[in-house]
Amino acid sequence: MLELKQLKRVYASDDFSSFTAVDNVDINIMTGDFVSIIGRSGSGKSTMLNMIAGLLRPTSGKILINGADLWSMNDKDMAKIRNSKIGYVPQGLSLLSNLTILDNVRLPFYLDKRKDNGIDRAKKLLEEMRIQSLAQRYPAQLSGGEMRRVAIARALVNNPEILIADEPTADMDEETSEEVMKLFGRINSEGITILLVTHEYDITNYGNRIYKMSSGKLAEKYHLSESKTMY
Amino acid sequence: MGKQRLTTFALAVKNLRKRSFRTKSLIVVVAVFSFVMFCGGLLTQSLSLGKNYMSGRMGADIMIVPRGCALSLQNTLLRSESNTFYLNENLAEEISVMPGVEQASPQLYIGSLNAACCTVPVQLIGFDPETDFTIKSWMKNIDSSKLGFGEVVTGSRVNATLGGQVWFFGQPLKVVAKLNDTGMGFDSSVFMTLETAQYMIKASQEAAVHPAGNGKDHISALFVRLSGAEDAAEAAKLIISKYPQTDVVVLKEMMLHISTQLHNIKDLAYGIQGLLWIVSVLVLAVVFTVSANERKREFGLLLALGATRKKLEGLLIAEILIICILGAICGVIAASFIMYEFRMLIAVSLGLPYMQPSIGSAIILAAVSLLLSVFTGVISCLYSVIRIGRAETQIMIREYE
Repeated sequence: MLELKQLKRVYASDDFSSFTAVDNVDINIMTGDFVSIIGRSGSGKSTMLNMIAGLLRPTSGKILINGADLWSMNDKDMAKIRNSKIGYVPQGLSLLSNLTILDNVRLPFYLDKRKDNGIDRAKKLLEEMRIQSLAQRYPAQLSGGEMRRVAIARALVNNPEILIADEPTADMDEETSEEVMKLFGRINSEGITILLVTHEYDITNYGNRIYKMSSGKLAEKYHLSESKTMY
Repeated sequence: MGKQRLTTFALAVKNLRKRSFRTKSLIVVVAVFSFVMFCGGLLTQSLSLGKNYMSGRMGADIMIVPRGCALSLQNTLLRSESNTFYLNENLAEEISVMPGVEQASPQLYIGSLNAACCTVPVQLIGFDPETDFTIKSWMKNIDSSKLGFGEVVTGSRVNATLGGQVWFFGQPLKVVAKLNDTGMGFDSSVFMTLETAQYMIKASQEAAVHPAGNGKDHISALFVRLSGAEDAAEAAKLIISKYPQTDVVVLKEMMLHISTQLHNIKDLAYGIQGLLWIVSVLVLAVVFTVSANERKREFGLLLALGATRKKLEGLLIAEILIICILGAICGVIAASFIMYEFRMLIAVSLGLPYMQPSIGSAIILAAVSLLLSVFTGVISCLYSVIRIGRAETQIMIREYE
């Protein structure tokens, strides 16, 4: 479903030196996988995730989604992939402060013209996230955990094939982290492929494939069969 | 929230509402710009129209006044300034038989300080309907030869009702007609026959409040139309040499002087408009660049959620269009109100022929001001749009973390 071939990203510095954040990574993610990538801050995991999400151009290598090379697409086609095939949960606060929670969740509907106004779908997702009562509130009125749930609901609104999450439990207490991870588990059980990166080793208990990233290189730590997925 | 779809317009409105102070400030900048554009345009158009009207309809090639009163005549014609000055009435007969003179018509001016009908001093003008070729070209609804004793025709800006009365020096005068707009001092003058005017002079002496002088058998100015081949400047020289107690105003020279003043005003208006355009573009561009920079994360997130760069550019342009259209409408409405309400004051202050264009022309001018404001806004946000369109999405998201 998702294949990375010799993916590399090099950052140039102001002093003419360069830094390789992602170094020739190869990975093949199958439909229904729950992949967790762990690594310390600066190990290159977020850079890799953002290249997969179509947000950061690789220096070299390929990202194939269902066989199509993501970075050889034009802006319109890539936007379509980001909108309908990939659900993206960014790191940190990612809601638009001038929109209500309901509007935030249905925002991807607007970005790729659809006939529906997206309200029913957004409400259903808020209900699944157990935050339906927050629909008419604004992001500033929500806690960090609630905002993360809204961001997940937004990522799911267009029924993506893969959900990508960057440090989804950062800055959360243990209980909220567990809730969010259980939520990912539930989403995965519905057939959606999940790829998340984290520096918290505890949460890698959720997933069937665990990778470790260090100095831009990716190494598989363990690979559980689907039946043994832990969540 | 209603059940409406999220559209570019709806999202732009939400963004503008969220940053209401910035939005209002930008609307004010655009409103000031469109105000100046519309006012400047209307002013220059009104002056050009006034000048063309005056030269086209005055009919007279030269105007003869007492020595030293040439400026007073111009002020009466252009600023509707009240003046009282006299020439000997015999002059009219003598001039009318001079070679090259096609027609000569006398006018008698009586200055009135205040009248119940008027917000500014009113000039009473007596004219001879039989020889007149100036006033009648602006008359509507009446044949000037039928103007009777005690009847008056008022200028377009004189607040008097047809069939009603106006009072001067304690005497009631019946309003039988109104002049069309002349764009000159005639608009705030009251016209009557020479006979009525002579009577008003007597009334002013009896009232002794503001004696208009001993005007018996006198006139104030003689409007002269020359035959086609006659040179007005030469005729003026001849008249002055023959009648040294007179001054002669040559219409062509007066119009030339007005044209020069008009050009100066136009240059000034264009200069101010140009300067303000540059200032507006700079202010809008700076505010938009700063604002777009602050919103990089928001734009990055929209791209991450599947927006195309075109959509993002569309959103930015929609915001500037809303600001520009609102600002331009406010500016044009304010300008229209001021230019209409104070048109008389503007005309008098400028001392130039001033004739506001028709509603149709004003609407076209308003549309041009609006389009120019929108164009200014679009030009101003181009840099921000191009920058946002080129930035790498993830870098946009992370720069403001």
